[in-house]
Amino acid sequence: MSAQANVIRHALPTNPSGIGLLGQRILRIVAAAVLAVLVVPMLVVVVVSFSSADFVIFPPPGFGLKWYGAFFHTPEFVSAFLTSVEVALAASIAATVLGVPASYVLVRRRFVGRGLLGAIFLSPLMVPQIVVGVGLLQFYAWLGISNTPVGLIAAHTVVVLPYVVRTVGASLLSLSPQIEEAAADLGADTIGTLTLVVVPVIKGGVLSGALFAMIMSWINVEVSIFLSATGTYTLPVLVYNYTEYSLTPLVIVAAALSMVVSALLVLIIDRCIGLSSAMRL
Amino acid sequence: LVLPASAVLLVFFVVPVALLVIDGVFIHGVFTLAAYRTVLTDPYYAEVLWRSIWLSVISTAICIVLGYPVAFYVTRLSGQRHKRYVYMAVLAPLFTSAVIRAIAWMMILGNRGVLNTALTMLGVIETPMRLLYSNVAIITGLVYTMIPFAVLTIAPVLEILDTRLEEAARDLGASPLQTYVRVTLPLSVPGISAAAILVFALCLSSYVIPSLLGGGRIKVLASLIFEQFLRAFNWPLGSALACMLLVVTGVVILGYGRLVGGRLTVGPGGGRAA
Repeated sequence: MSAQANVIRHALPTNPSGIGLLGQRILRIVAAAVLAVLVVPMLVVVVVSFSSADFVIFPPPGFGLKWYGAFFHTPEFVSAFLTSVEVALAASIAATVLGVPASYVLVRRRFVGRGLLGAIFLSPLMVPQIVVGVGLLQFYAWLGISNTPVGLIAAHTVVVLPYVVRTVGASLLSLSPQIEEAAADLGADTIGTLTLVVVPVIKGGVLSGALFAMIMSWINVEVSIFLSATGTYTLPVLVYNYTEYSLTPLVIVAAALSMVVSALLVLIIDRCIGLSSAMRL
Repeated sequence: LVLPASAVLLVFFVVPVALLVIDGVFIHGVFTLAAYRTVLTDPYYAEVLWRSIWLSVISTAICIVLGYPVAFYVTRLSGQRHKRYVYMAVLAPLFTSAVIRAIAWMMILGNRGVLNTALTMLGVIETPMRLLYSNVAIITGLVYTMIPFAVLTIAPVLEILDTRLEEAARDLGASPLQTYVRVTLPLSVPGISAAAILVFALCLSSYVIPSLLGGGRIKVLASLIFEQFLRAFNWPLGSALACMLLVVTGVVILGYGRLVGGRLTVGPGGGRAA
């Protein structure tokens, strides 16, 4: 919250004349309120996860790590946590391996249907996740691979692929094709150009794309819920199943831990290329 | 080089979605439109569809009203550092699972939740208000989830807005309010409409928020699909509903594509922000 307070205190619009001083003041108050509403719910989850109470209550009567201990001693939750880690790692690696070459071609080569292909590569973002989920549910039943880790990983790979393609595509666009041509003119072969010129420039983009993919897989519930059963539950799916009945302190700890992992990944992205440039605003 | 990725997309994305279309019209291998007939004639489905639409419309409207000032604010910030903090706050919900966002609001809106506890302690209310498991809870959750998308869609439009036009209006004697209403607002309309379209489509297709914050009693189109597949095991009916959702959001997203133009292709600023 203090970071926000800071923002609000120091920030002055570059163009104070446009909407006037009163307008600015109203704008600042409304924006600050909305930003607070965006952040506070997550803080509530984190605060309550440290509660010492045996049920979910706010404000907590006392604090402690009791429920974190319980979380790591509950096999169901630990196994869901590990499943999520595995799926996120596998899906983000697969999406990166598939997505980096694809986005290189989409950005660099001119061919018929390039625009269409690009749209198809981003389309998993446009199709409602529930539709992808139920489609895969039927497809896997037909293939006979329902509720398998492989099926879940493949599904996540498809869902997170657009993030890799877009982030890498954006960093490729920042590299002028003339530089690659120059390298070729100076005698570098294709491999040399790629390793000495292209890779160093897009390294940050590739890493952020991969991390984005990892986060999106890590938090996914919309698709996973149709593709996992007891034993292959991911953390968000397990949390969903519990929450449908009641909120328990264990679920809150699971939620808080999930957020911590996301936050760490976001911080790494921010360190790599800066969050706002990663989001291409 | 694009082949491996295309193949994976074809097998695990295009084929399953196509299968869904086929499954909606074949029951035990026989072509029939029975599932669609049920959906289109049974008043229950009409009611659910209608509810999904108005919940999404209200959520979208609130979302724009709250997201627009944030987008406006962030684009007029001068310091990069401050911009970054604001974007962090805006993006935070996007990197959190939908289940967790729902849980957070369950803790806030519950009978013994943060809001009721606070209001009781302040003496505003005597008995807790019933906020959770209602339309209000669903709308709150949807708005919360979608504000980042609204901000991220509106902000780029405001970013390229030529502020000299505002200065010109002021120099020509317009008041701040006049300047805003006659100059700034009309120039932000493309961003606002693109955001509205995107948010509406996203609201219509979410089911985690409505099913958790509605307590499973308030049904929307997406939660109906969920139920047909995982509880009722009526796959043809579920497929028919999913196809309807696909068509509706498809039409809406195409409209979005038209509005934002080339931004749907690979490249800077392409497509949905997250």
